[in-house]
Amino acid sequence: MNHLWHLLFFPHEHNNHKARLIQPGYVAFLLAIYLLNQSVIKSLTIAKPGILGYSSEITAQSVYEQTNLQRQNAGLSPVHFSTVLSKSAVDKANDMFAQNYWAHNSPDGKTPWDFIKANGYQYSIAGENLAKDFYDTDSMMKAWMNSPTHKANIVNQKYQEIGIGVVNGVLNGVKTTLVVQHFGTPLDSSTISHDTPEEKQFEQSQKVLSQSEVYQQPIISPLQISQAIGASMFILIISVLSIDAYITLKNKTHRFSGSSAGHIGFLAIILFVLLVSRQGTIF
Amino acid sequence: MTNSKSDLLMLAILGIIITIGASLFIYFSNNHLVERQIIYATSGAYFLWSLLYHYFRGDLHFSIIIEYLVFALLAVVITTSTLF
Repeated sequence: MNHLWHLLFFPHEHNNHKARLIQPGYVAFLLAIYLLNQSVIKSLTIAKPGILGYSSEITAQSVYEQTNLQRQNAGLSPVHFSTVLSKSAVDKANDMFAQNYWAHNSPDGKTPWDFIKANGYQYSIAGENLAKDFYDTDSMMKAWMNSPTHKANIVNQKYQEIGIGVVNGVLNGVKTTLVVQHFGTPLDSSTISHDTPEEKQFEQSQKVLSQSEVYQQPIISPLQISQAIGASMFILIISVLSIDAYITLKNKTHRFSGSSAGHIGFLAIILFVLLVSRQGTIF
Repeated sequence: MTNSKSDLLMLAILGIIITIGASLFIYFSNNHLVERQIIYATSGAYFLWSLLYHYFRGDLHFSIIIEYLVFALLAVVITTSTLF
């Protein structure tokens, strides 16, 4: 047992002077274990929808305020809050949950403009931003502003109104928060409300789509589970590579093998990328 | 150029490649389509680098190619299946 352990982690004449854990066959085995774990997570989302998920602190009011803050920073006038556009934004989010998709166009061919028009909003120009799996409004807004196409909607001087839908539900078996921004300029500008929106109006933009119960914060984030397992594997392999490199260098062992320094550098950067990645997607 | 000097030069090139990859990944964070392409490109560049590195060292063997291929695949599969 001790010998097997030694062969796994240390170079030795019985493992061809290379720790077994960093030999291609064993690395492929670790990869298979990881993929098996991913399959279990996927199966769990199908068998028990809503067990895994992302928690969120995003509110319609914070999205509205931060959008106008970005416009103010760009020297633009603020967009006014539209209850009609908010209704279309909530409808769009509801439709994504109902039909289980994540895109601007629905599987049955509905475009964002169909949702806006269906609510009786006649516009000269309109736009849509989508986001999911973000924990807070700051990081979501930052992601939108880093994307040229989403930023173009937020700081578009042609838009006069905005509607926001923040809806919690289960998408692809995972609890999540979908955020929809609908921008528009009505054909009849006299319909624009210049009043400061009331809290009640924002509440109508905030919906919970759980079958019957009040939305509860999910216990486990699928990203965090996969990140933890993936990071552990990288740390294990990097550690064994480092031990292997040290012993080989110390013993001046000659062997045909890849560059340990190269492997360590590459895997360390990939580990870094894996750890700094944040949840959240924009579309 | 001596062997150790050319080794250092090649390792420095790899360092530049992976640093550029990581920087681009952070710059395009939350844009999953671009992030995925950056991971593919960085892993591909790592594999290509390994071919050149061992070719110049004169020890480009099939087992070494497989070794780099497996590490590149490990990086691609774990990052893409975790993050996307």
